[in-house]
Amino acid sequence: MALAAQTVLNRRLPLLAVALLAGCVSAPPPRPAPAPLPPVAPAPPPALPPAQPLPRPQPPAPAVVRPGPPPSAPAVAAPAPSAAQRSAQPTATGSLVALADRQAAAGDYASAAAQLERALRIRPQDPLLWQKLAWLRLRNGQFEQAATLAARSDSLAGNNADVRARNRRIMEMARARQRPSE
Amino acid sequence: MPKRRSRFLTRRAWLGWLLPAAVAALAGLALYAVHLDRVIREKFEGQRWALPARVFARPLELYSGAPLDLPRLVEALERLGYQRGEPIGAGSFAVRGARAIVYTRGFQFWDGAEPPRKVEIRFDGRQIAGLYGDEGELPLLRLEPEFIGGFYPASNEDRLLVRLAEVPPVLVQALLALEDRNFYRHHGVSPRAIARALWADLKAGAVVQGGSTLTQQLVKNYFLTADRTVWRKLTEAIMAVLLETHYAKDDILESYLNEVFLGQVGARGVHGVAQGAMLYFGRPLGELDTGQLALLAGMVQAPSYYDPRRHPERATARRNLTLRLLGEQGQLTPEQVAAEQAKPLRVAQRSSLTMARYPAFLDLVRRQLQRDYPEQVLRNDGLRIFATMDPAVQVAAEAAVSEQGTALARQRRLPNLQMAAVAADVATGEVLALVGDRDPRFDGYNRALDARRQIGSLAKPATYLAALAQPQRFNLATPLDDLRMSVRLPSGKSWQPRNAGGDYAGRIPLLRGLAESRNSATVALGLQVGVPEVLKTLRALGVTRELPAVPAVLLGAVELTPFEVTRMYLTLAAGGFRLHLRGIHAVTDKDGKPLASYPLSVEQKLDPAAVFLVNTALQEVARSGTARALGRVLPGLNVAGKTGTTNDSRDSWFAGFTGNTVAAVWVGLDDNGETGLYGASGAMRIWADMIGRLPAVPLTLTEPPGIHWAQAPDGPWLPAAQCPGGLGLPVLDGGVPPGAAACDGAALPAPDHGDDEPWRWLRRLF
Repeated sequence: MALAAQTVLNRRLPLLAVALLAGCVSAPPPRPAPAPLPPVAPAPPPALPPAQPLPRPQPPAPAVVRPGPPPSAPAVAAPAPSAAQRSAQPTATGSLVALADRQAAAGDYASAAAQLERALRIRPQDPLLWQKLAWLRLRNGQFEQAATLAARSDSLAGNNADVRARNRRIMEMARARQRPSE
Repeated sequence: MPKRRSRFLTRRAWLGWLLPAAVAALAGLALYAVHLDRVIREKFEGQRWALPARVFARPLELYSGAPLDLPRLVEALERLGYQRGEPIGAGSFAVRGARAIVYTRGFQFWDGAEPPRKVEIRFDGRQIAGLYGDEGELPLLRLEPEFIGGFYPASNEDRLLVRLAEVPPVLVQALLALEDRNFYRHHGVSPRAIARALWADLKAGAVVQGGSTLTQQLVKNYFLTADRTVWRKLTEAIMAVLLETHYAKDDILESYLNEVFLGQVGARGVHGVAQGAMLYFGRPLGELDTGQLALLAGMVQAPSYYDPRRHPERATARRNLTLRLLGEQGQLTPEQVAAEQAKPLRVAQRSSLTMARYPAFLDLVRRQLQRDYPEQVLRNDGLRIFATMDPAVQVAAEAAVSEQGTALARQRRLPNLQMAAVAADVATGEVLALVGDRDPRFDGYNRALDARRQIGSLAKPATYLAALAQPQRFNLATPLDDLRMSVRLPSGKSWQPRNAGGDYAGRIPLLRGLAESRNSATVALGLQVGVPEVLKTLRALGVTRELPAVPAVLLGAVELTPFEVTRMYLTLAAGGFRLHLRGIHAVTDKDGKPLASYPLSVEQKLDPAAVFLVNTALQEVARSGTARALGRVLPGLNVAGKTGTTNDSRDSWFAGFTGNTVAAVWVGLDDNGETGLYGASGAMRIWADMIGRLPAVPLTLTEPPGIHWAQAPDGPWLPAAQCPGGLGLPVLDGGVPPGAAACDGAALPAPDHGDDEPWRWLRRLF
């Protein structure tokens, strides 16, 4: 290390002359004093209630990339909505659902779920969107969420027997996977 | 001879002293250089700067049918620093009649990329009629998210990194022309420049010129203090030379461009040309034109002296000098120089960096992040945080709080009157807005998260929900006694709940008890249901605090924060499904790689059919009950909501929801004093003002399975298109009032006394 520095110095002769003077002075200058803390107010004692935590962060998208459904998940394909339902889907949510399908097919469930959430902000009461999210969670192995989301879809499905039948199927599969012994 | 000997001896003595001294000095110098070398390499390898975490708002989604009018789009574009006029490149737009032509910037979102594109947005009154790109109609696109704040390193330096390849060449040319013409030729120090500076200093008798190379300036800013001592100068020179031996010119230049100090926002230093562009022009560096880049380069020497906001003349002169130099060097034609010199400065009056915005919302983000990320990481690692805040909703909430709040304070002669508001998305549970003080810019006590206050009548829906979940016992028509009453408590004491204004209705249908917020009727119902059942329902709605098992809870003797109240009403708005109230969507590292996402998450603890009945009653609150003024202020929205007032009007509350937004507002005094305000005269005014400013979606309750419409002999009556005469009421399977007839003529299911389990509905599904 010392040797390396020497060579460096030798290559820089004009500097050496300057530096000779410098050698007489003893202590290196002090580092600048740390600046005062930024004006972010300290958190008041009662933080957010611990009983309503954010859901645990999911692993980053690349970490969940897997071809096909995860090993623990049932081999299910999302049911194709009938032609009538598909054409009734407005283009904005339709394109988000299509994007979610592509991302889920690539194993990026976190991004796929995010697209469905974008769609839900546009159509909060659309049972098909809730059902789609339920399927996604089922594929992702989150069985309890899958069953609850299917129930949410059902509560918005009115008399749509097709949607309700599929919700029932999701719930059955989710429950079966949750309790494999039963 | 002796003389010569002595001279020889003296010389030897002198040499004998000098040689070791020189060797010692050399050794000392070598050691010091080694030390400096290590300092340089350690600091320059790896992460060179502590980078603040940057928080972004929810992006604006544009799609056909979006409830967004042209003025709101223009507002959003201007907040993002888009330039209005001739759309010529990313970050510019034009308005032509009912159309906007926008060149978007594109953005790398955590869940996918949004490409930059040219898009024509057509409007149809208050909504978007269509989006048209070069390839035809687009289904949707999102603008880049608004920057809403950061968590800054202990050094209090704000900085946005930029790669040299992304820096416009004009900026580099201007910087070198002004600061270091020989940058690409010297080895870290420039003897000629030093000599020139020395001569100037000697002539002036003071230090007037620096003669530092860019490398020396970088070393000075990056490693050393600012004092002008000979020692510091020499150390700087050594380090500059060392730096040049280790690193390429372009690497040093890039570091300089990111290190350089460009201004101050409060106590925070703004560093780097990229953040400098945001500070002065409100736009990304790549969108600045030649004149703006020349000004930025010119400011490097003395940012506060040339501050274009405070000293426009100096800034103009400096910019013009820079442009002239560029012309002299042949980098600009004389015509270009003249044209750029003739332009105004075009500095953004306000930029996203100069405003201390949204402190309460950032507080929420920080608290929710703190569980997963240590403070050190938040302040230093340049995380990108995608928050759920919707700038339009936040702006509406702030305007409502400060305008209505000021009016209320004046009207009640209470200068210390305080308030807080929270709004969230009913589908996803994302927090859209949060205000914690009458002055939304105040960064301190955050009442939205920390003010625990009695909720009064806001608790009542829990009693009615607990009752209606037992359909064989209760329905909306069940008669309740609304009379003066005395309740004997287990302690032996008695409790006399009182109706507001001493107004007692006698016998009223259950629906009216909630709609008119009658204390006696509610206590009578709650005692029939049982206080433990009501507490269970409160918990199922999302109340996590310890609840006292006393009848006073029925009337809201429970202290909750506005945030917790929002969570409770969100559960109602979501049809009985409990959602996590989220302030954050996702976190990525500084390069955009996703680290964590916080997805929608839902739990079910309540029967959606019973919740539907309660929500119907809450719509009646706003149609004909204590909040009936809302029907006038917000016509056609069919909002569901509840007023709340505590003893002696210490707290005024309103919580409610539309088809897309749930919100809670609290008004009161920090010392818990009396305000003379009721829920409807205080908090509801703010709530209605806020919702009225938004493109709200009317609330249409979707009937879950298990609901029938019927007509009961004595009412109560609700609008019901499917019933004869257009009036009826919803009833649950097994919960039909005596003598009622089904609206569709079908036979109503008989009461099922064997099943009082609130999970009938779910069980039927399996």
